[in-house]
Amino acid sequence: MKSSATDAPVLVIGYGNVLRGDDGVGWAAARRLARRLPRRLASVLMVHQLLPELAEPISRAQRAIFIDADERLAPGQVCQKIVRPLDRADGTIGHDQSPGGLLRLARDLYGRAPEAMVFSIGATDFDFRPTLSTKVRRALPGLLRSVEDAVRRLGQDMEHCHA
Amino acid sequence: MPRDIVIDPVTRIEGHAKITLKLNDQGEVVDAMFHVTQFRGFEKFCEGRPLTEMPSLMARTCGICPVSHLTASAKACDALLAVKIPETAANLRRVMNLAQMVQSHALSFFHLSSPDLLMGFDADPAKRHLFGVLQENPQLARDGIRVRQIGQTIIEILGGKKIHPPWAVPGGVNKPLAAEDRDKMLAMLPEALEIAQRTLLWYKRIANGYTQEARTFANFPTLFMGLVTETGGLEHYDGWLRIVDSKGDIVIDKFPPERYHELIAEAVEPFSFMKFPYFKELGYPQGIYRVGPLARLNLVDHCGTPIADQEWAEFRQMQRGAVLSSFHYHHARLIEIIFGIEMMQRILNGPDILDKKVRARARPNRLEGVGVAEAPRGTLIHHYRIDDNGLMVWANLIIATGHNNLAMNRGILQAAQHFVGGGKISEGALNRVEAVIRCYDPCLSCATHALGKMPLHIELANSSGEVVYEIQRD
Repeated sequence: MKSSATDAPVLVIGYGNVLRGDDGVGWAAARRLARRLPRRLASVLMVHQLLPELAEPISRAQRAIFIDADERLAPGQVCQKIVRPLDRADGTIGHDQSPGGLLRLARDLYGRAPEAMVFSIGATDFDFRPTLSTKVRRALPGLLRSVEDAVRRLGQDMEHCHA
Repeated sequence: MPRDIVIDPVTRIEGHAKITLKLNDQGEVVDAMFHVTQFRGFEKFCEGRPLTEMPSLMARTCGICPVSHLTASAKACDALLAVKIPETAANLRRVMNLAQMVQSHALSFFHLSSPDLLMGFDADPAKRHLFGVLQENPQLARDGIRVRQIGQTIIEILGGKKIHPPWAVPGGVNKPLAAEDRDKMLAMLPEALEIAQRTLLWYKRIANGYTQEARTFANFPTLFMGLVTETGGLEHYDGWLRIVDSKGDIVIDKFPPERYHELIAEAVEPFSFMKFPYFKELGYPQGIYRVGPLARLNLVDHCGTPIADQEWAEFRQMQRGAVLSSFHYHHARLIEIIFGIEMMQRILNGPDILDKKVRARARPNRLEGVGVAEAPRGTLIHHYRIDDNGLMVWANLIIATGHNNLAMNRGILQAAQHFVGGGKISEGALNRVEAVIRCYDPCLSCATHALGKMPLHIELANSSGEVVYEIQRD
């Protein structure tokens, strides 16, 4: 796990396998966001899998944002959706969780699950290579803008709250 | 009713397995086979690579225990360079290897096995998983996550990342330890120790409810193998190979690990890609032996740290001679977590741990090298040969889970004979057969774990080889 900061209100988690083509888009996005987002606003993590131990930092965030590749979307298509704690446990997984599973762990173990969103990008090429396909690479700036907007909106909300 | 034996060509790196149980005409289980059906091929595709790449390349063997492969590989490369690495570098490697053991044991115990232990082997599989644990005993779930987090964080502090840290290199490590980082690690360890002790206390209370499982989960005499210190203490990084028998008597002692091939040979079976190592002197398959936490606690004269020593003494009183049931791997694992934490504290408080000299530099000076370390699951052996240009020409890896292959097969047979009857298998029996394997915490093809519903395919075959009953979990 690589991290850029800790204890900011927004926790951004990019995940996937950087050696499997488009599956590394979560890392690629998170790496860029770590440079672009103010540290007072966002902590950025890059991980291979969503591990149970992420539940604890997630529980401390005001908003969690997950970024992943999604083979069900058209290549390069960016999709964002709200994700909530799983109601029904998925017992088939152990060390590898889903965003909803992690939110449930955060809520049940640490007393709090933040608002959360998943940003997905349609991916098609999961071959053994460390680079993104052209369509995914071209769509990356749009994904970054969407995530940045979501993070900065929270920042504005916080400033309103403090005013 | 299926008529053919189904071959499942699973090629993904997750741990996939298949079990075949053979029945006689009376419907009794007479044989069992544990099939590991994926193939990794690391020994082949490293050929031609420079030895300097080997530690980082070999770490990719596994996403759960990359540090173990990193460590054994770096040691094999040290041997190729013919250098004695600086003591501080060896101690830093020890710390990372122990942190790896702590986090891996925590994964095995808290995430994979505690659902069975907390809710029972007959519990509804829809509840028998990590989420079930957090409902039944949230403190246990939190503790598991925290111990793993501490182990992972120590690996990250030392190596720069939690998985596949490119840190141990031929001749030592690539960075000395900063005082600030040492202090961060030391600050986390008391909490880890408190959790480990609390969990062991809990385990000892509930384990009494599983006497039937303890009696039938691979409870038979075998040899046990592992590394020990010069004084017979628990050792995970260096030392000597020792083998004890089921009475706890020493069969082999102070044996140089690099000569492992004089003790061990490897057999293959057509039903599995996992090799079957055996003790040469007894032949195949009589030369069955076990490695890992249970074996290590069976073969040492002491652990070497205060709390672990107390727990070890109590553990060894369970049985005269060696503790034979593989069910007790769980107990041994918890004691090793305590040992790992205590030992990390000792090493990190050592006077030379911040020394800047952490790497011996040399060109290759030998054409053959062996690196042996204790991975969480047991003795891990990396054996390399290079050419005059330092390029790999041959490698042999004996992975911890492989050493236990014969014992896992026999353990499944024992549990199946006890719990399976009448040509059918209940969910509870299925789970127990599965749980025998889980005791060993296998890293199938040294890939990874799965929880609760390990992808599993069990076939009951009659004496003609006809499959009479089949159950599959994906």
